[in-house]
This record gives sequence, C-alpha cells and structure tokens, in this order.
Amino acid sequence: MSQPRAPQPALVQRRPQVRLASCAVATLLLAGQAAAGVLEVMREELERSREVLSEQPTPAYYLSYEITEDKTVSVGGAFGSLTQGWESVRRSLDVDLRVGSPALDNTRELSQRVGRGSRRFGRAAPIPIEDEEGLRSVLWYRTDARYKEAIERFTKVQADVQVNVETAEETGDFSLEKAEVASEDTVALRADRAGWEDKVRQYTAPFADSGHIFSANATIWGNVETRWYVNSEGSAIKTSTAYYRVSIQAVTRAEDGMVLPRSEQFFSLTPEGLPDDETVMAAVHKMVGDLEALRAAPLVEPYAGPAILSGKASGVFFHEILGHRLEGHRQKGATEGQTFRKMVGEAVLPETFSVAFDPTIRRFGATDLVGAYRYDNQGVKARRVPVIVDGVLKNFLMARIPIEGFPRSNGHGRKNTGFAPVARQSNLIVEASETMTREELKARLLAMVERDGKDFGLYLDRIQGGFTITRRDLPNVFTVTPTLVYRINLDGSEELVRGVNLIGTPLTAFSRIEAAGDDFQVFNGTCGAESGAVPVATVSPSILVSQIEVQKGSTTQTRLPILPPPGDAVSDARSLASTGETR
Amino acid sequence: MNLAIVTRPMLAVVVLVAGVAPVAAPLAEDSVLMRAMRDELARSMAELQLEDAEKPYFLAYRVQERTYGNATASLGGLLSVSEGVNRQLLVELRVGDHSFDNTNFMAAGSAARRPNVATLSVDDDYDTLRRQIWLATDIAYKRALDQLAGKRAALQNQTQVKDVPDFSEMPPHQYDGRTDGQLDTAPARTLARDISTAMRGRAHLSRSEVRVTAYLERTWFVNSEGSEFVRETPYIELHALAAAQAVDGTELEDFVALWAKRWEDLPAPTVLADRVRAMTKRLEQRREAAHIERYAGPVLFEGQAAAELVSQVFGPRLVASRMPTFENPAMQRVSARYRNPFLDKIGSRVLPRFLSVVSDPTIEAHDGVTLWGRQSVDDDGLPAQRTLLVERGILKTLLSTRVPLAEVPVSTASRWRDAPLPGSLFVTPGRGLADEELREELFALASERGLDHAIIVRRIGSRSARLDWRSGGFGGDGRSSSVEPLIGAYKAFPDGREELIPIAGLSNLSESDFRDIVNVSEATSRHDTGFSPSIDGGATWPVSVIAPALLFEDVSVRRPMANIPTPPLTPHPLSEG
Repeated sequence: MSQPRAPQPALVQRRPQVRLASCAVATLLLAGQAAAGVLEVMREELERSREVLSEQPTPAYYLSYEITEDKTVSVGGAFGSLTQGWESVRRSLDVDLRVGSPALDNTRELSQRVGRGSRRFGRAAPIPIEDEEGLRSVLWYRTDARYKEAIERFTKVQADVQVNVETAEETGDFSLEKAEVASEDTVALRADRAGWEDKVRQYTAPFADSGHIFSANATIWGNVETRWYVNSEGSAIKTSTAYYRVSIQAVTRAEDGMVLPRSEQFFSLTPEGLPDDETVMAAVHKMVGDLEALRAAPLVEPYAGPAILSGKASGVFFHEILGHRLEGHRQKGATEGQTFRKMVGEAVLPETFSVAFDPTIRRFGATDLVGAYRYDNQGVKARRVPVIVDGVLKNFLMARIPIEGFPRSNGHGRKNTGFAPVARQSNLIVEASETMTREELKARLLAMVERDGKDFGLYLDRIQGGFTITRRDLPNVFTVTPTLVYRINLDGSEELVRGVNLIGTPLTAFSRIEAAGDDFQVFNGTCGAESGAVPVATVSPSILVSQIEVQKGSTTQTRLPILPPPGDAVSDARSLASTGETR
Repeated sequence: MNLAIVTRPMLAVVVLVAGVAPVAAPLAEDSVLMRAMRDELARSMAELQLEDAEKPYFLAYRVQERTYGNATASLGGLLSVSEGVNRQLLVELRVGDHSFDNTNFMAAGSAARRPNVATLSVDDDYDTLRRQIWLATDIAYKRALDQLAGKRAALQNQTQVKDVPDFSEMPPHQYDGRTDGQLDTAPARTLARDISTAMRGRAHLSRSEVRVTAYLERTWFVNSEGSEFVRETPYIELHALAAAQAVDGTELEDFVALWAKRWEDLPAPTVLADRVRAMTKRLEQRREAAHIERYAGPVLFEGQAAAELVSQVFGPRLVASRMPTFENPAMQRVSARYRNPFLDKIGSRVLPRFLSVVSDPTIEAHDGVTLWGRQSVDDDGLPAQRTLLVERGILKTLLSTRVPLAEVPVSTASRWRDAPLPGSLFVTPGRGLADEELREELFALASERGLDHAIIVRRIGSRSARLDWRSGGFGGDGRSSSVEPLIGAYKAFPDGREELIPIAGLSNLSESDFRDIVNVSEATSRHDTGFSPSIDGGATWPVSVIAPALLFEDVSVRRPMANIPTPPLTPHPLSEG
C-alpha cells in the first residue's frame, strides 16, 4: 500500500534566482504530432476513470490531468571554449484527484502530530511524447494509484479533523471554478545550436584574459513548455510557451579568500528578443571590469542606515518581503506567519506605491517578462490582481485554496511538474504615483546620512537573489544577496564595496520605504517554493529606504591559486615537455 | 469502445561503428588534450608547492568524454530522448609518500571527501584546457594538504593496527586504444520505440518501458609516473521492463537486459521483439500462478539465475576495497561490520573442490559474442590481466586496485572508476553432471527430506533492471537477504511436471553457502548482468558471467512478506471494447 508522502522541509525557502533547468530539442524534436489528439485522449480517460471512481464508497469528486512537455536545447561554454551541449524532450503527467468534498478533502494539511504530510502530487509520471496507447496506459495506471493514495490520506484527514481543535476558518479546501476551453498551437523551439555554440565561446573568451577569474561560464538555453490540461469540470486547455535565456556567470576571489560572483541574465520569449552580440559583449566586458574592481574593493562592516536599491534589487526585495506573504494559502496554515492576514484595508506601503501581479502582460519596455502565462496550473484563466492600491492592502494571490474573504482563485495556482499547485507569484509590478530622478534620490539619501550622523549610505545595484521564511516557528526574516554594492559618501562620491547581504524583517522593512525612482527595471528569474520552481518577473523602480541592515557576506579561507595561470607559463611547460623532462 | 491497435513495422537498426582495432601511432602525440594534460602535469609536479608544505608525489589526470544518446519509450511511443556531449576531468593528487599519504582517510566533515572533478571544454582548445586543469589541480592540491594534515592529527591519538602502505608502486605503462571510431547514438530512439511496440495491446501489463542508453566514452589518462593511455568504450544498453499485477494484486516485474558495444552485436530487431513478447508472456503466466508460502530444501539454479546468484551474492565478495581510517573512531567500529568476510578466507575453501573462478578482462568473446569485462587497461593505467580467484575451491586472491590491503598487497589491475570490478567472470566446473543427472540428484535430495518436489530457479531479478527505482526491488518487498526476487521459479516434480511460482524470495543465502554447493552442470552458459561491487547494491556495470547450473542442498524460499496492493478499480484501457 502506498505510504503518506514525506513532509516538506521545515524551512520553506524561496530563492528567486536563476538556475539551470535540470531536465529537459531542435534536431531531436519530435514536435507535437498527434498533439490535437492529446486533449481528446485525456478527456476520454478522465471520463472513464471518473465514472468508476465516483461510484466507489469514498467517491472521487474532482479529477484533473496536466501533461507538461519540455523541449530543451542547452549549450555551455567556459573561457572561450565549448563545455557542453545537450538536447532533450520529455513529457510528464500530474494527476490531481480529490475525494471527500470541496469543504473537506484529502489535500487538507495535516497537523504536525500526524506528520505534516504535503500537498505534493508525488513524482510526475513520464508519459509518451507520442502515441495514444501509451498515453492511455499511463493515465489509467496513475489515476488508480492516485485514487488509492487519496482515500488513504482522506482517512487520516478525517481523523485529524476530529482530534484537533478548530483552528482554520471554515473556508473549505477547494474552490469551484468555471470550466475553460482554449487551445494554442504548439510553439516551435527555434534553436540555432551551432550558432549558439559560437556565441558561448565568444561570450566567455574575455574572461580568459584575466588571471583572477576562476570560473566563467555562459549558457544559452531554449525551452518550449507545452501543457495540456483537462479536469472533471469540463476544462480542456492547451498552452505552449517558449523561453530563451542567455546566462553568464563568473567568479573571482579576493586576496582574503572571499568568493565574488557576477552574473548577467537575458531572458526572452523569442530568440529574436535576446540581445545582440554587441550588447552581450558590452555586459561581459563590464563583468570583467567589475570583477577586477571587486577584488580590490574594501569590505563593509555590518551597517544600519539609508540605502538606495536599484530597480532589480527592489524587485527582489518586494518579491521576498511582500510577494511571498500575499500568497493565499499562507494566510491559513497553522504553521504560517500570516503577516498580512488581518491587514486587508490597511496601509502597508506609502500611498504613492501600488503593487499588482499581472501574468497577462508579456513585455515591459524592451524586455519580455517570464512570469507571463494564459492559464494557471489549475485551469484558471490568468488575470491582473492589484494587491496594493495607493499603499493599501486589497487582495491576495489565490490558487483554488480558499481563505476567509477570498473564496475563489484569481489565476495564481502555479507549480512545477510533480508538485501540487499553491498560490505563487507571476509578474510583480510596482507602480509609483510620484517618482524622483536618480540625482534627487541620491540627494535625499545624503540628507538622511547627514541627519543620522552616518559617514555614508549604500547603493545596491546588481543582485544574485534572495530568500525569505514565512513560517511562524522561525524568525520571519529575509535576505537579498547583492553582487554590486556602492558606498555613497557624504561628498557624493560612489565607491564599490564588497561582502554585504541585505537582511531584515518584513513589516519593519516596509515602514522604511521613502520614495521611488523613475528608472523601472525588470528582473526575470525563477522562484523556488513548496510547489517547485516557477518562472517569475518583477518590474520595479529604484527605491530609497531610510534604514536597511546589512550583514557580512559568507567567505572562504581558501587561498588564491598557487601557480600563475598557465598562459603565463605555457612556453616554459611546453619546452619542458619537449625535452622529455616530464617523464 | 473499440481501439484500433496499430503495429508498426520494425525498423532495421543501422550499423554505424567503425572497426575497433587499435591503430599503431605515437601515443596521442597529436592530441591537444593530451598535450594540455601532460604540460600542466609537468608544471604541477615541478612547481606546485605551498611554502612549508609537501609537494605532490603523485598526480594523475583522467579525462572522460561522453557523447551520448538516450531514449525511453513505452508501448511504441517515446517517453523521453536526450543527446549531448560532455567532458569531465578527475584529478588524483597525492601528497606524502607511498607508505603514508593523504588518502584512505575519512575526515569528520564532508568537504574534504568531495571528489576532485571538473568540467572540461569539449573544444580541443589548448589554452582553455590548460586553464581548467590548472584550477582543478590547485583545488585538489589544497584539499590533499588538508586531508594529510587531518589524517596525521587523527592518528596522533590512534595506532594503526596494520601498517599497510597507502599506494602501491607499479611500473609505468602506455596504451593507445584510439580508433577514431564513432558511435551513432541516433538508433537509440528507433530501437526504444520499436522494441516497446512489442508490448502493445497487452491488457495485463500495468506498466512497461524500454530504455536505451548509447554512448561512446573516450578516456585520456596521464600520471606523473609516465603512464598514459587513451581508451574508447562504446556502450549500448537496452532494458525492456514490464510490470503486471497478479490476479491477487501481487506486483510482478520482468525484464530483458542486453548490452553491446556495436549496434550490429545486438540481436536483430525481430529477435529482440520476440524476446520481449516472451517476457510479457511469462508475466501473463505468473499472474495466474499459485504462491508458495515457505520451502526449505534443495534448489537448482539454472542459466540466468545461476549467473545472477554469482553476480549478486558471491561476486561482490571477490572484490577487495580498503576501509579508510576514520577521523571519528566510532565510525571505524561501524565500518568494521562491513568488512568483506573473504579477506579472512584467502587460502581457505570457499567453493566445492570441483569449482574454480577466474576474472578475465583479456578475452574478447565467448562463443563468438563480445564479452563484457573486456578491458585493455584499468583506470590506474595498468595492463588488464587474468586473475585466478578461486582454484579448485580455494580462495587465492581478491580483485584490487593500487590501494593495497594487508591481505591483497598488489593490484590486480581491476580498477574501474574508484573500485575494483571483475573482468568477465568464469565459474568453471572441474567436473559436472549432465542436465538429467543433475535433476536426478535434485530429486534424490528432495526425497531424502520427504519432499515430493524440489525448486528450480531459472530467472532472478537484476539490480540494473528495475522499473520502479523507488520500490527497491521487484514487487515491493520481494527482496530477502541481498538477492533480488526469484521471478522464474518452479516447483519441479520427479515426473517432469513443473508449476510456476509467481514470485518468491531467498532467505539468508550468503557467500558461505556456496561452499556447500552439492553439484553443478558440466555445461556452462553465459549471461550479462549489471554487476555492483557492493553487496548492498549501488551503481552497476555490465559483467559477463559464465557459470554452470548450481545445485544447493538447503535453501529457504518464501513468499514475499509485503502487503499486497488491491488490483486497479478501473479496467485497463485496452481491456474494454
């Protein structure tokens, strides 16, 4: 018999940082032949299982299938040479099967006494890229397995509900939504593999000129995610989206052993949307210069004082401290901090600030937004959700997990394959009714520095990522990890520094936001949480914060390489080899 | 509902491998990679030294390049495909000297135990390769110094019971196995799809999958003693796996597993498809078969089952891996439990006197079919050699690498990755019985115990052929001792009648039971299997086992003890209409 799933790790961390996909073609692409038939086969199998399972002593009241196809091409280079290239295509199936009723079903979170249990679907099942019989066979087998798991878990849920004190409001476990029917054509993955190989060589070559750069990698990655979704409410949806990414990462080390990374990411929903070589090479040369400068940059001691966060940094800041705390299911879990649960209608930001999550917009300025989608992973149509209007909290991000006052989904039930959907962020859009130029922001920062008797303020420019904890049994802290930080001295001069991470707690951090700049920037990344990694974006202006706290960044005690780079000694070694002294 | 079942015509698999005879050429003299490896090795040996610390006394680089194409398919449809190329550098750097160096030590922290692996450029670009090798060597050297200091510190308070050197001295050896052969990995897709088609239309199969892995691995090796080699390993692996639920719900699995170095060495697609159909037929028969609750008595292992038994129970004991010194003495005591009992049996009888065992990586083929285990050099760069392991029942030695043990001080040139691995394993009978005679003896032994039947096992599950990795074996808990479940076992009666047993497990059969093998067949058969050097399973590599049928006098066989899942509620999609 199946066992309950292992509980999720206690510490829910969210790191909106770009990571290479572990799974996932141009020459291999088998494309979606018989694609039109996939939804039909899924619907037929769903109906066949539904008929049987709704007649059982513990009937299934809801069933959905989602098949996700990932076609991926990836090439990587380092120091001017190709290091890897691969292509793959795979499809996986997720089954959401519910027994009980929308008011109480098998997905209800179990108390810690029983073992928290999780809403995880269980490992996604591989499913044929082609062919109907294989598809039917996997759908049939997995549905049966999921039903058996569901009745077993439902028994535990019922017992748990009887034994426990009433903690959650009676909002039920699942919202009923309208059926959606839509079908997009399968997008072709357009990967010029040979061209990409030349590009990664070109993009990584300048790093080889520095003897201090110990790792320098570029990856060009193209992925088409095609999803077929059907549910027992009558929804039948097919969507297909392409993602393209150029990612460059390089690492140096300071004399004291501190590891100093720099990275640049370029995302697009089309290959044409990726920057041209000139733009990328300009970024690469800046990276090389930044890395050399970082090695010589002074260390910053722990500091609390005013700072300006660039648009990218403030986007991650809002994602961590605000976005995750507006995810609906976090307002009802007995273990969740529920920071904003009782604050609807209250001011949480300056009134000049508004925040919306909008998966329907696909582009800001010249940059595509990876948090865009048309339907979420529960068959609900994507829509714009204004969460903060003129500083006042109005709404939460909702999956089909109802909370008090918010009984329906607003199209943010998201997940990666193998996970059960929960409310997740999409494109986080920060709007400001009043903005300042960079110079005005800086002047105001310096006034604060002077007022507070400090010697300097900080400017957080590029960031690597961040994470936050929302659980109530752990401190509700957040961290944002910058890679480029400047000290703004009282005389207005700006000086690169190293070794700081931005830390804080959410409500305090909000109360310190003073003003917005007029320079909106996009941060595209991947956010990891309990429903897996999902693509997200932020659009945010730079912001002035009256007080931030920074702590020392992590460091190693590893010395720099003992021998000089081989380039300096190549001729010596060659001559040694040719005279036979190596033997 | 009627479903039209379309059978695809089998596509011929194209033969695309060049010849494999090594060409006579100066050892990789023209190879940019080899030159970069040599040059950085020379520079490191000459100059790499932290002030007041020791220089490396040994340095080896092993670069493994893999050009791969993998495909999985089910019921005629591809599940996934992937293709690519990558290169990995493994740095083995030793500080100290042969008698005492930084290795064979397990620090309490995990950082010091990380393998020294780096990704290398697949472009033959000299400067980039040098740079990558330089950085990886630097990390390996610093790590080695940390390990040596940690080991010295730990041993200040411990006395080593046996003073065995850390690394054995061996003469340098060069080998050039370059053929510039190519392995086209594209047929993997066609093959996976076509073979899986043979499992279509079978409503009794709950799940099925065909996995085809194909790659060409090139290894370049150079060490500071002057050893060098270039080796090419073409590899094709095909696993057809299927599962069914018995009428009572018991989960059953079966498989077809094949390895080859060339596509043309695989059986013809039609033959493969027949084998897969025969496998599904076996599963169908097992679904209806009656369980046995418990049996203790004589058991005859034939064919694949004999080879698997050797591979899973006896084989891992023929491998000698050194237990490291642990920084934490408590771990030292725990690790003692995992000591290979055969280390204390060298010179003792471990098999009946009519059996001998040889590991032989030098033999190319058996009965005209390429053997697995054939190797020209091992991963230390030593010339592969035939090793007599058991001579007329007496254990002579164990397979080892250049990491010596008190009991096995010299390498048998058996290193594969980080552990010793047998070449082809020959279990040779000095005398044996004809099949009929062996059966007579089986029934005589059964009769002595008052049994009206005996058990004959023809198939045992394989560690490399599990459909569901999470279940840890066939049908949930079919495992007992360290042997995979019996998936082709029969109650055999003296009148020739046989009754199939759907699944059963062996209780506590261990390597010491092999000493009491009563008799064997005079004929041997060859089976390839995924061999794991660890008795507890783990990564497998194909090894050809050539063994006779083995008759044991007293073996306990029982029904799997796990609970039985209920059969599916909804009928199989093919069972309607």
